[in-house]
Amino acid sequence: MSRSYKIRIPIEVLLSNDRLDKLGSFSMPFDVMQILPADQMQELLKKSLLAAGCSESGGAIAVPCKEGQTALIDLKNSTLRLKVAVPGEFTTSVYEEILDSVNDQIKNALASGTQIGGRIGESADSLLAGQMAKQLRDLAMAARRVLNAALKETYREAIKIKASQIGNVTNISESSEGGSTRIRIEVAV
Amino acid sequence: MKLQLYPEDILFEYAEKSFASGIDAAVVKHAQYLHHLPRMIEFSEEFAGRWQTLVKSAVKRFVADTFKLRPFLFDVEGYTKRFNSADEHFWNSCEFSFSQRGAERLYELLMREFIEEEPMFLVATPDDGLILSICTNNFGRYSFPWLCRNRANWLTQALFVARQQVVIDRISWQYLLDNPAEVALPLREYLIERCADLIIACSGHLRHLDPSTPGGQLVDVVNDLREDGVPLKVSFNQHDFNGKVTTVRRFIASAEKAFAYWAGEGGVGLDDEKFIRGALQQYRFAEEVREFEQLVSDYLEGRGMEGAIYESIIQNQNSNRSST
Repeated sequence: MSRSYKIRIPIEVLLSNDRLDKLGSFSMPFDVMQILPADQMQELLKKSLLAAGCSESGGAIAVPCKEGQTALIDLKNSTLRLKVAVPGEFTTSVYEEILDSVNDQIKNALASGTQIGGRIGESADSLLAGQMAKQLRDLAMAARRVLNAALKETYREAIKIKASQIGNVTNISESSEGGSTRIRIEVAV
Repeated sequence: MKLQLYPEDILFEYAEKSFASGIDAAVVKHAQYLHHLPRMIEFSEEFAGRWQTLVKSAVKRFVADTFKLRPFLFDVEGYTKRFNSADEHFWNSCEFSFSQRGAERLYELLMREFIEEEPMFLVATPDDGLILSICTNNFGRYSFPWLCRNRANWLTQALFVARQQVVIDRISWQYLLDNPAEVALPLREYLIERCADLIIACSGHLRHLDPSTPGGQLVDVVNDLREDGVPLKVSFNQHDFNGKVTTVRRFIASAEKAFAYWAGEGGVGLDDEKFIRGALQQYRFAEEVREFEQLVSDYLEGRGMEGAIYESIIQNQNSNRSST
């Protein structure tokens, strides 16, 4: 009967940097209604996001996230860029008969900066892909919630500005029911 | 020292204490001698009069605690009028029937430590059931089919509607909505209010559901929006979202059918349908239903969006696999 040993393999030995990037990151576009010119809408959205607790980070707006995760809102390109940290190691079991050969492969791959491929690589890829997809989905949903709330606030402000361009705003009232918000603005022209 | 114990007197003491603070807190003075008492009680001739006086005042107090001065609709010679518990007409509209059986069941509760069997709660009149429910603070023992079959008056039914906890997949008073012709006029408006409150509670529950964790979200919601009303406690015991929505929609359909009947062919007098329509507007039943439906679609949209995002992530991961 063969024994099996649990070993921890550095992730870069199993997956290329491109592949790791692909597994741990995702970008999704979002729409902004152009109630005002694009630059004004971007400015209002930025203001709403900052008021909601987000921060500026390298030309984008960072949504507060758990450690190891980033959600950046690129206002210029209307894109939400998400990133989750891929684990640095992959744990698997190998039989004693092939343990030495696997260890040699890992050593060589580390020295040459390549990947060992084969079944261990495939299994790491498929397991990590599933884990990362779930984490990215949860991060996307959380970031979307922040973005949607900020967009709602932005539209509210933009409509008021637009109305004030038409004439004197005499009355503003708002009502919410379910997922819809109604804003009624009375303008004296 | 010789001590003489009169079971009737002990029962009265126990009843008074139970009405005041429930059976768990009701400890009679001679509790240590209870095991000497007979297992079944035989009442004296004077018992009935004393018992009626005691339970009537207890029920009146309970009605005042439950409904305060909330007015109910009554038919007076074809015309609809409002009366509350301070008005004579309110009490004249219903007759209570308290029997010796209620006292026997309470005696069984007093002696429960020494009697192995559970008290036979259903061997009683609905009004006996009401006093037993008040004493035990458990209004779930009596179903509406049982109450109606045994001709519970409208006020007893209203008290059970007010005090029963609702479990979403078996709303016991839905029986009244399914049999609208059996519902007396004073209870109709109250049921409209309670139906609206139930839908508000369902909407409150939906607002706290997270589309990313569709299972395992069983919560109790307490709707205490009405300052003077008894809070409505709703238990959401179904895991499945679609099952929950189907149950609530079935309830809504049942309520709408009952309301249409009361506002139409089921009218009692000359003008009560106007009051029913007014109550529907006052308690915003249709608006609450719309709000509930909006929340259902928001939830489904959220779940759909999540699914779509997940799909896109998987597609992105699998695009250009040759580069791996």
